[in-house]
Amino acid sequence: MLVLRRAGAGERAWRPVGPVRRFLKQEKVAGWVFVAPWVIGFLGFNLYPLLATVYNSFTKLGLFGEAQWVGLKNYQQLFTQDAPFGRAISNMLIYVVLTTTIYIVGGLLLALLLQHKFPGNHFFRVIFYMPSLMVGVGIGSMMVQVFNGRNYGLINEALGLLHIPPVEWLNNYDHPWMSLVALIVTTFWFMGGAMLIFIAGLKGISKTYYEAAHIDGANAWRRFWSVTLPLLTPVLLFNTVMTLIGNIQAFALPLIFAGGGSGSVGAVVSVLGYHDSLSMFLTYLYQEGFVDHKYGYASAIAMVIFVITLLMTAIVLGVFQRFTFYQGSSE
Amino acid sequence: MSVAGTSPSTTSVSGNNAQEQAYTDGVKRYQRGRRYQRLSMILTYIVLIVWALVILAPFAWLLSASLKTINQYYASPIQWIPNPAMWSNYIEVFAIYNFGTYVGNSLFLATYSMIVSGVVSALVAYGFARFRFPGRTPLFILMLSTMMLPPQVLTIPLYITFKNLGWIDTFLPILVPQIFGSAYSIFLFRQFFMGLPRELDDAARVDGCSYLGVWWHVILPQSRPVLIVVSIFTFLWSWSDAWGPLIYLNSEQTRTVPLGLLYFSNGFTTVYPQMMAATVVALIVPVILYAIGQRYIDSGVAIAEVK
Amino acid sequence: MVTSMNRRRFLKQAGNVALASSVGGAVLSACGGPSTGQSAGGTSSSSPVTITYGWWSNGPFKDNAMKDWVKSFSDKHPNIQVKPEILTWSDYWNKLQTTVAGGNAWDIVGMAGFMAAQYFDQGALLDLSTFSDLSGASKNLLPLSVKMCNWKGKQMALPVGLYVPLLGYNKALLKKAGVPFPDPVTPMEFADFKAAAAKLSIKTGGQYTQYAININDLDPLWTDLILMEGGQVYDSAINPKTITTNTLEGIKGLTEWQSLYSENLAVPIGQQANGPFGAGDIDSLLSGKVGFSRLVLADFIQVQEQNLMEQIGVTPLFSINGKQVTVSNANSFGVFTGSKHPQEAWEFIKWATSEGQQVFGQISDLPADNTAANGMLANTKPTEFVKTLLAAEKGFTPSVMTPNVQFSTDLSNILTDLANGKLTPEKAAEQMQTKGQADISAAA
Repeated sequence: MLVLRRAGAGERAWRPVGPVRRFLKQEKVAGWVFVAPWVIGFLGFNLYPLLATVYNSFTKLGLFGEAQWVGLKNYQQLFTQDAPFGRAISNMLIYVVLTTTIYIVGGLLLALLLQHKFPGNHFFRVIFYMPSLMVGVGIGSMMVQVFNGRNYGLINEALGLLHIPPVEWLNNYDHPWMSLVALIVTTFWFMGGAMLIFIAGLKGISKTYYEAAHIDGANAWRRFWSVTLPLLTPVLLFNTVMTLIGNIQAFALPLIFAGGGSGSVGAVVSVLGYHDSLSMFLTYLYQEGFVDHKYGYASAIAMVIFVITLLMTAIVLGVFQRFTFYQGSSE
Repeated sequence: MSVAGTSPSTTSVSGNNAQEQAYTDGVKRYQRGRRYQRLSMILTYIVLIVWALVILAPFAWLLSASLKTINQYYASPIQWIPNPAMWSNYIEVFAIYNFGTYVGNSLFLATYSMIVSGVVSALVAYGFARFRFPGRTPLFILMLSTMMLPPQVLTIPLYITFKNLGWIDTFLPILVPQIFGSAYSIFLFRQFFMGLPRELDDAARVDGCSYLGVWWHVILPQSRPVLIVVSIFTFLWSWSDAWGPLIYLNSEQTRTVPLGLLYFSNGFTTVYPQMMAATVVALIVPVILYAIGQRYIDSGVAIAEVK
Repeated sequence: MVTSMNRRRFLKQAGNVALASSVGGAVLSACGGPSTGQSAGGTSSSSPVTITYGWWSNGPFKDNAMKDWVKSFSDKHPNIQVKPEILTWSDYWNKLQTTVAGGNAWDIVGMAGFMAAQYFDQGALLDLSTFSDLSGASKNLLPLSVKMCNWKGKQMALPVGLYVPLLGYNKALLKKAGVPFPDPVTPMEFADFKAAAAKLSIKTGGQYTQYAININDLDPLWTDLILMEGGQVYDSAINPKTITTNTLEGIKGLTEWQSLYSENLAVPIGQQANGPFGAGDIDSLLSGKVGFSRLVLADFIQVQEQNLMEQIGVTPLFSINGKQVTVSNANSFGVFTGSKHPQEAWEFIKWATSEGQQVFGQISDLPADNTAANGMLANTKPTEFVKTLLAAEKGFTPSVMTPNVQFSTDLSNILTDLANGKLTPEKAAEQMQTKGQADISAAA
């Protein structure tokens, strides 16, 4: 059966022919063909690590050696005896909710301000995104300098200009939660990412809608609520969900603030901060898995984090489901 | 401010009065509108400038720190303009710390990722956005869930996978996965694609365009904003990746920027000024690329508005 | 990490060590697991062999010197090529544990004393006593340091360098405060030190702009002090079974430690690593903000090259009632259990801990080899500093090595609270013992 044939003039070089062609023309099959690359990648690189992690969560596994099956013991210990993890959960709740809100709202505001053409538009876009363009280590040293204590840090210097006494951010032994506050405050520097996505989304809204609304006599405020926001919901959904996941998985900055802001005695500084005050999901995972070499336990932690992430995402998706407006979707 | 000249009460014809009243009202509304627009423009500028200063402050510190000696670095209160300015720090970064090689390596990997991953992700997203096929929703949810598992636990099994393939100490573990797209990019593309009107798709198909043709000729041109954004993100992600190059590469010739930045500190001392200089160098490439790229976000246009 | 479904066992020359590997991803993995597992038996093989070597970075110049040193091994053993990889500190340990768990670590593994416990405990390194010439290779090494690499009866590594911290001081600041320079060989008494230090912590405008000493890098100073008071903290520093701090000496030692903070002699904890008082060894001493700070052998080169002897002096760590203890560490080399060329790796280690020691001492730490250590007197500058180093070595005591990480965290929290005045020495001593003991017992 001839599957392919040479092309005639003006056609692409090889075209599938006959039954194969009809097969491929079906929407169902074509859909699978397009998503196939990701599926193959998943099977090759994601599936095995995923299954391995699930399996390991039921074992006791060290740095080098064999895994011993322990059943639900890891989970049991995690839920009943693990104080730092409990601390991590409460820290994460506060952190994720606040940070995500700041990030999305701030990013949207900036995007709205910067979407139209006016002199200096591009300049501001570059400035606001610049912090996110830094490599991890650079961000760390910069932020540590911003939040440095006494009057050495940038914030404290600024406060000093206003005659406000310096605040101890990272090494506050009387109020250890200040380091969490510092972590949340850093969000203000990194709103550029959300801003960028929103700008792209805003640009994708066809002008005709605005024109129609204007003809109907809607003012700017009304236009925002009736036209912009609804048409922005696909991108808003994306941004909120990804920010949520990203914040749950915050790792680099908490690590630096907890250890390298370094206010504890000893060569091995805890990555969870003074009395676990900056305990976050991923730093705790790192502590158990990579510092303490309890890979089985760490896998269990990972599974729990996964489930929590899933739940929070489902909530966000559920809320959005009622409001999302897909213009040209094939829902 | 009143309209120059005319006063509304001169004519005596009954109908004209109302018409001229409407005219004046219109002019007044226009002027109020302009005033409002100017005011909001000024307000916008104020907000933007203040915020820009807040964002820029740490960078000003970074730049000034990169030109200091170690003692000036620790001086308090902060010396904003170092005197003398140690431009030699930048020379050291390239001469002693070999940063030129690192930048080259990072540039290669990041550009590759940006192009390959971007194209494939756009294709996959097209499948999710425009096609109904069995298992689409579960597959999409599966894809989302892969992003929810903390990446740390996956590192060792993944390493073992690559070891069994014999890819350790080569670029392959970093290059090959890009061919299969990235869940983040796919998700973003999909959201954007779903917001594009279907009519153009259908029109093109009626004209005999294949599915791939629709993707290339209809979807992509309308997607320039999101294409730019995804490219920036992918480039940046690869540029700042510190894990892959650490684990899978093993020589100084193949080292990348994020790893190179750590060599400024060791157990006895940290040469902060040079490290800050290197941080500035590491910042320049992404900033330039982004500054150029983000202009094109504006030029994305919805072709042929369907009225 | 041994993972899921498939495992194969390989018997290695050195004994029953399971090298676990797994079948990779379903679609793309070719065959299952590597088929190698045998190392070249017996003595060095006739065909050239390349082995890998890992160590952490000490700055670009020393890194280059170390790479040259490593490669110079092949001059003596042309059949064995050594490929060095030098990473920054945190990257090094990240890569090491990933590659150990993945079965692919360097053949020659650099080990630092206070990170070694877990690697020793979990069998990541070969027991070197399976090599018949172990006793011959180790006889010229400082016995205490060899003991530090011995874990539960197995020789996990051989020491190559000793980390011995010294007390460096800023001559100008001491002169200004009217404090006589400490003797370079005889340690100061702690009481005398405190008297001098009182003059060195200076307040300007309500805030301290100068502190007498930064003890951040001198950890664990509290252990030093307790031991110098005559107490004993651990039954054995290596894999301790008991910790006793709640004793008279323990409380005394902790009180003295705390007094450094409460009397504002030491840089406060929050400022130790960041900010102007937290610069590195030599930078601290040159900053004019700190009177005393740690100095180590690795800093000598810089002192010599930049001619800093006019500004910096050294003295051993202080003593109490004539008893001087410097709790410190040994860096060592081990052979990865899963190495495919353990014999060749062993050849390297033997060379590195004997003939290679001379050069190693110039690059890194005080050689563990006695001949090389004494030989340093002639070769290392500044010579006055070397005298101090050898004097301080006399008080060398191993630092604690326990695989329980929670132990360090708990102790760290207690000490931080003690330094900030939130705990009294009595309470701290008691908590250290209770919590510490619980952690140590849990590790077993």
